[in-house]
Amino acid sequence: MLDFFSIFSKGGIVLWCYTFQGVKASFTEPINALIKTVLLQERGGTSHFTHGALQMQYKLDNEFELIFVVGYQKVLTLLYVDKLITDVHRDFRDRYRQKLLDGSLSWITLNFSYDNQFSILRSNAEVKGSKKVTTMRTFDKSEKSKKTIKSMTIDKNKDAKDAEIKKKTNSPKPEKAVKPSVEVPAVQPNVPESNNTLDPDAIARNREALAKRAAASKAKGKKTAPKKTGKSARVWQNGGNAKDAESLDRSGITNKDVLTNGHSHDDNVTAEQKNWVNTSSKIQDLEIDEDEILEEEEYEDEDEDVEEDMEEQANTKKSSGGIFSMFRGLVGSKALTKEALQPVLNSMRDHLIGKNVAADIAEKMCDSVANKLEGKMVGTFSTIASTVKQSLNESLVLILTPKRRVDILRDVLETQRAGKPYVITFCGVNGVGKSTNLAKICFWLMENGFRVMIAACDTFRAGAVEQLRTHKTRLHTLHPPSMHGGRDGVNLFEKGYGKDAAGIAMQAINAAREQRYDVVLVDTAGRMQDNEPLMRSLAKLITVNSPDLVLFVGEALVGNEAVDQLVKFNQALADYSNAENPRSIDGIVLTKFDTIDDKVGAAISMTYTTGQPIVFVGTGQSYPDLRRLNAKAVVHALLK
Amino acid sequence: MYNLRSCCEVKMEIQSSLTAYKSLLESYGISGNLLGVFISLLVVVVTAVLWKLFFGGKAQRTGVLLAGLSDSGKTILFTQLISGVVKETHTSLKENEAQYIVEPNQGKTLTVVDLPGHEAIRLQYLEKYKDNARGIVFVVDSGSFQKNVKDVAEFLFQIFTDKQLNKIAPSICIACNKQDLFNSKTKTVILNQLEKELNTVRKTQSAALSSTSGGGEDSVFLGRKEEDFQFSHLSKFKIEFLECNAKPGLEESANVNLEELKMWISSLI
Repeated sequence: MLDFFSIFSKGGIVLWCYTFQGVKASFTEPINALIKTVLLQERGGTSHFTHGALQMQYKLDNEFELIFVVGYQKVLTLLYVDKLITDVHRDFRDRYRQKLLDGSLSWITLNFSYDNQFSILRSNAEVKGSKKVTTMRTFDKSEKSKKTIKSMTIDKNKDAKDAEIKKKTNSPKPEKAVKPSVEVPAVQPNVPESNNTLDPDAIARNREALAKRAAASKAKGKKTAPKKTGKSARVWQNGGNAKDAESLDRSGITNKDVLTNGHSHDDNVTAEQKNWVNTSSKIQDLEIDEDEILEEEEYEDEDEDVEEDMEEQANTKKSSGGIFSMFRGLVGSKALTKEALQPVLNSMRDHLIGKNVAADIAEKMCDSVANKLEGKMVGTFSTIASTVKQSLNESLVLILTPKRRVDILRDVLETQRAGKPYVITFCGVNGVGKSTNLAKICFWLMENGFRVMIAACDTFRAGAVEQLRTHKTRLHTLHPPSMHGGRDGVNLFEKGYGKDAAGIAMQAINAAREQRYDVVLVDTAGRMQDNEPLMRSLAKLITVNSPDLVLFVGEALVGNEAVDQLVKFNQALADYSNAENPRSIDGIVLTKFDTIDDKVGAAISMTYTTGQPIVFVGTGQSYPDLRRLNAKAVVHALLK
Repeated sequence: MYNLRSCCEVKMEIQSSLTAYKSLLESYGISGNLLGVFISLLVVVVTAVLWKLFFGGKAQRTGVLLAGLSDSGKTILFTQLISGVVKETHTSLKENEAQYIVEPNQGKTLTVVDLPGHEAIRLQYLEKYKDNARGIVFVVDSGSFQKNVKDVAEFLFQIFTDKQLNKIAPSICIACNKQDLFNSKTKTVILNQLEKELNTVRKTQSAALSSTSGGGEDSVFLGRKEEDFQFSHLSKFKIEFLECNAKPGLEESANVNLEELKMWISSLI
C-alpha cells in the first residue's frame, strides 16, 4: 500500500529508504518539494503534505536530527500510517542509538539493514489498523440517560402558545421608526426557554420594553424637530460650482505652464526636492535600532580602533563561552517536552500578536517551532525560553529571507537586451499607497538611468489620472531629457476614465515598446478582495498582458486582514484566469512603514501567507522614501 | 629602533595603567588578597584576548566550506570526500560537518563543512561558519548552469563582497560539478560567462557608486572600476576553477573524478 518510506538526516543524507515492491521510481522530487514547501517555509505544524497524487506524512526527530517520511497514494486512506511512523521512529532510534550519537558522521558508511524489521512493523500496524472495530456505547454511557424526561417531552400546545407570543412582540416593531435593537433579542429568547405558559413576569417585562421604545422614539423626534429650522447650506471651497470651474480645470495647458515637449514644467519643485536627484539610485536597508545590532555584528564600523574593541569584546565573549562549554559537557542535558514548551510558546505567541502579527499566523509559527524543538537536547545552562526564542528568531529570519533572487535592475537589463519593456503591475485594496509608491519606484528607476512609462489603468477613482500626471510632471522636472540622452525619462499613458483597464495596459505596453521605454509601471484601481467583478477584471488584466512582475501593495498597519487580502487576491488570480499556468502575486510592497514603530508583524503575515518576498518598503510620502527589507533588523524589532 | 621604542612605550603604558588600576581598587577598599585575585583575573583575561588576537591568524582556521546553489551536488561531494561512498541525498536543511584527512601530508586534517544551498538559509549558515574558513569550494552544476547563471553570480557576488571574508581572504575554488552530464559546460566556458554576469551584477547590486551613496552599508566594489570584471582582478582571493564529478554514472567514462579537487584541498595546508 505504501509507496515509499524514507529516513534521512536533516543534513540531507539518506540513511534508509524503502520502496514498495521494488518500484525504483526516485522519490527525491516529492521529498524535496516537502522540504522546500513545509519545512523551509515554517509550515511544520501539520504533519501531512500533498504533492500531486502523492500524500506524505512526516515526523521530525530533533534529538538525532532525523526526518521520517512516508508516502502513499492520495486516493487510499490508510489509517495505520500514524501508528507506523511512531513505531518505526521509536524502534529505529532505540536500535541505532549508539551509532547515531557518535557525532562524527561515521554512519555515512553504515548500511542500515532495516528492511526486515520494517516489514514486521508494517504488518503489525496493518493488522492493528484493520482491527479497529468500534463497539456501541451502552445506554448508561450515553448522554440521553442523563437528561430528565420532562425536558425531552414535546408539548404541542405549548409550542403554539410560544409562537403566538413571538408574533406579539414582533408586531410593534414596524410601527416605530427607531428600534433599540439590543432590547428586542433580549426579550425573545426568554419566551421559548420557559417551560411554563406565559407568566405575569414576562408580560410585565414586555410592557416595559414597549414603553421604553416609545419613549426613545419620542425623545428622538423632539431632537430632530428644532434642528431643521437652524440648518443652513454648507459652502465648500472649490466645491464644483460653475464659478470654480476655471481654477479647477487641469485638463488643458494654461498660459502659466512652460511647454517642454508636451510636458508642463512644475514650478513648485523645491530645492530640497532637487537635492534628491542623483542621490537616490540606491535603495538603503531599513534602519531599526542599529546600535543594538552593532553589538551583535562586529564589523559594521569603519573606524579601526572601534573595530578592534569590538573584536576584543567578541573574543572575550567567545573565550568565556569556551570556559563554560567545558562545564556544559559535564552537566547533563535534558530533552524538551511539549508540555515544557507550551507556556513559553504561549507567551511568545501573545508577544507576536501584540506586535501586529496575524493571530493564526502566530499560532502556526509557534506550532512549527514546537515541532522543531520537541525532543531536542539542551544543556542545563540554557533555559527553555532562550532556546525557544533563538529557534523562533531563526524561523522568522527564514520566513523574511527571499526564496529567490530579487534584483529588479538586473531583470530590467535583461529585458532591455531583448528589446521589450519590463512590465510591473501594482494591485491592492483601496488606499494602501499604490500610486504614491509607483511614483517612488519610478523615481528610483529613473535615477538608475532607465526610461519609464506609467500606464494609468485606474479608470475609476476620481483624480487618479491627474495624480499620476502631476507625478509625471514633477519627475520630468527633476529628470530633464538631458539626463536620458535627449529623450523623455518618464511619460504617462492615459485614456481618461471609464475605459477598460486591460485594454489601456496593452496599448501602453505596445507604445512603450515602440518608443523604446525600459519599464512600464501599471497602476490599477484599488479593490476589495471579495468584490468578484473587480477581481475578475484584475485577473483579466494580468492574464492578457502577462506582466513580468505582479506586486501586491499592502500597508504595514493592517493586522489580521492581511492574510485575508492576500489569500483572496491569490485565489482570484488563479480562479478567474483562463491560462494554464495562472500568474499569482510575485512580490509584496509594504507601505506606510514609518507609521508603525516596532509593530512590524504585518511583514511576517504577508510573507508567510504568500511565500513571496517583500521587494520594497515605503517609508514616507516623498520620492526617496523607498527602502529594501532588512530581515534581521525587522526580526530584532519584532522580538524585542 | 622604531619597533623597540613602541614596544617600550606600550610596556610602560601597561605598567602605568596597572598601577593606576591597583590604586583605584585600593581606594574602593579592596586590598590584600582580594586585590591579588582581581589582578590575576585581569591578567588572565588580557592574556586570553592577546592570545586570540595574535594566534587567531590563518593557522587556526581549519574549515573548508562547500557552498553553492541548491541541487548543485554539495552533499554528494561531501559524502564522497569523507567516506568514498555515494549515498542518496535530499535538500539539506542543516550543515554536515566532518573531519577530512588530507592524504599526502599524513595526519593533517581539515574540517569539511557542507552548507545548505537553499536561498532562505544559506546566508545564515555561511555567517556561522565563515570565521573558520580556510578555503571555500563553490560548487556549480555544470549541466543547468545556463539556466542558473544569474543565481550563481548573485551568490558569488555575496561571497566576494562579504566584509569578513574580505578580511580573512580564504582561497576560493569554483568546482564545476556534474561533468558526467552530456550537456555540461567546461570550466573555461563557465569562467567567461561568470565574468560577464558579475560585470553586470556589480553594477546593479551596488547601484549608486558613481554618485554619493546615502548611508547604509558601503559595499565593496569588485575588481577595477574602469575595466570589465575579470577574476584575476580579485587580488585578495586566490581563485581557481576546476572540474569534478561526484556521482558514478552509467558509462565507463563518467566515473567519479575528484582528483583536481583533492589536490586543491591538499594545497590549502
